[in-house]
Amino acid sequence: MAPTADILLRVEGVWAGYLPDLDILQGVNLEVYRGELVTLIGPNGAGKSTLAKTIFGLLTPRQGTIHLADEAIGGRPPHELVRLGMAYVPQIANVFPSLTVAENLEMGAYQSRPAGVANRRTQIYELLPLLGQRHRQRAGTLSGGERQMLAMGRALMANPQVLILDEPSAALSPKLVDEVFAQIRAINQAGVTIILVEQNARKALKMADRGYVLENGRDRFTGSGPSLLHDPQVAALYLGGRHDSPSPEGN
Amino acid sequence: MALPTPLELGQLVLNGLATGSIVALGSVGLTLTYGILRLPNFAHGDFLSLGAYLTLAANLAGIPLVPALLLGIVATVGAFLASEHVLWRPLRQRRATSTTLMIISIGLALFLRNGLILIWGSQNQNYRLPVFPAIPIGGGLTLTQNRLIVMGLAVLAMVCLHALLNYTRIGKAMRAVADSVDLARVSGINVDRVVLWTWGVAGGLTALGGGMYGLITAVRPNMGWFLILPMFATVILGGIGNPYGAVLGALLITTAQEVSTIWLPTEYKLGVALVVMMVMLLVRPQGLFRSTLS
Ligand SMILES: Nc1ncnc2c1ncn2[C@@H]1O[C@H](COP(=O)(O)OP(=O)(O)O)[C@@H](O)[C@H]1O
Ligand SMILES: [Mg+2]
Repeated sequence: MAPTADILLRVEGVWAGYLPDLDILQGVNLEVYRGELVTLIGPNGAGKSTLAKTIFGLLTPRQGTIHLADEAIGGRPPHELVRLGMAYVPQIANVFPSLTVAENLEMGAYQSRPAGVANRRTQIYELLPLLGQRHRQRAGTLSGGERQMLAMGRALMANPQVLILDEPSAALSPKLVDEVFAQIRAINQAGVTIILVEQNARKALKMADRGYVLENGRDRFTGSGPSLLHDPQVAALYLGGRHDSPSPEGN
Repeated sequence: MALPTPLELGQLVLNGLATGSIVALGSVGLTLTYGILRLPNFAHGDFLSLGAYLTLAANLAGIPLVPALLLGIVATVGAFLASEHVLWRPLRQRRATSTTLMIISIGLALFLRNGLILIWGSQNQNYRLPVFPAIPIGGGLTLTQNRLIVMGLAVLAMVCLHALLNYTRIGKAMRAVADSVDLARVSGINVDRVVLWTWGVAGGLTALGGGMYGLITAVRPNMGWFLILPMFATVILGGIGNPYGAVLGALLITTAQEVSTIWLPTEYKLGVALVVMMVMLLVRPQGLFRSTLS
């Protein structure tokens, strides 16, 4: 195991939820090392999105701690987390529909100096050329795949060290899923630590350094991508059968 | 049914446009706070009255109209911010439903109106201004100087608002918050600060509307309350949260109200606003323009 200093994000025994007496997260743990691509899988309603929202300050932990490097960030408002180098693409409503593509990107770098924003936007257009072609179009008129690209572009505008992606492949055609996954890998290889929540569990585990299986608000299994992929129990419960069977949620 | 001459009709439309400018300013304020803060604020009209009274107070204290208007605007924005601080923010933090917010805003409306009566009395009052003759503007139509000032300042305010919303950082952030509060938060926008700016902008426009309403009618405690129904009709018609829709809706509804006085007693003006809204919504349930709340 790497020394503690290399742990970029650590979630320890976190309890959280939406309604006063209902805990969705029930003592969940998560550790992410600098530079890693970690995927979070598990059945619908397991609390994956809730964990992402809690890490990002949209929910306050009722118990437990969240650290970014040495800094305790549990319950901090999101705009402070952005300043600390975190970015997040929510599962739903992840673009501003009435703003143009360019304005959406600008909002992603809301806290940066105006001069830096234009430069950064040019870089994003180089990374995701489609956004450059559509820069004056309203985000609400984009297709599903284009929106997902814009959502990632927006999150990258602030030049984050860690990026949380909540089901970026949801509702995309298989071809687009591959495209989005290739982008994610490229972003990770450029040095951004990534936490990837996914329904496409097989594809995600194949790409990830490590994975966590969440169930009922707890981390049930963890291990390297391949080890989870080949774990018979994980395969039976969460990957829809034996590890070498075709993915049922491929589309 | 008596048919109006083209001249009569033109004059009524012209008068409607002046009142429409006032309603437009108020409605833009209302639609911004409704769309961005999700607050159906029935006290909005009484804040508009407050703007008129504060302008009046400054004017009667010997200050010329334009600086008096500015003072009225600043003080009214202060009152809007106080309501945010004392009522709306604590209620939002307790996740009050929009029905709760609406009922509380009706209570605030009564509180404000009775406060105005307590301090300034319930009689009609007027700014201390020289009287100017109406100005002929061609074709036999006339316009009083005050109506001209009202329309000019309203247009100026709208141009400024358009520039703010499209070309400034805070203006774009206001539109972003109207689209999605959570996404705005996670993008790094300090939503609490955007909320304060929204009150400032919405309050400023509303107070300007109130101050100028006192120019074309008397200043009286229920002047704004009688505008709240046309303003809500306008906001719904124009798409909640859409300032451009609010402007067009306001001009449409107030013009319809003025023209209706050819056939109907003026007491029916409010009814006309609601009928226009209902007919439009039957034809186009989504409103005339896009709403930011959907
Ligand atoms: N805004 C909300 N208010 C109340 N309950 C919610 C909300 N969002 C999600 N939940 C509940 O939290 C549980 C976990 O949901 P979620 O974190 O979205 O699961 P996942 O992303 O793993 O599919 C579900 O039971 C869901 O009904
Ligand atoms: Mg989810």
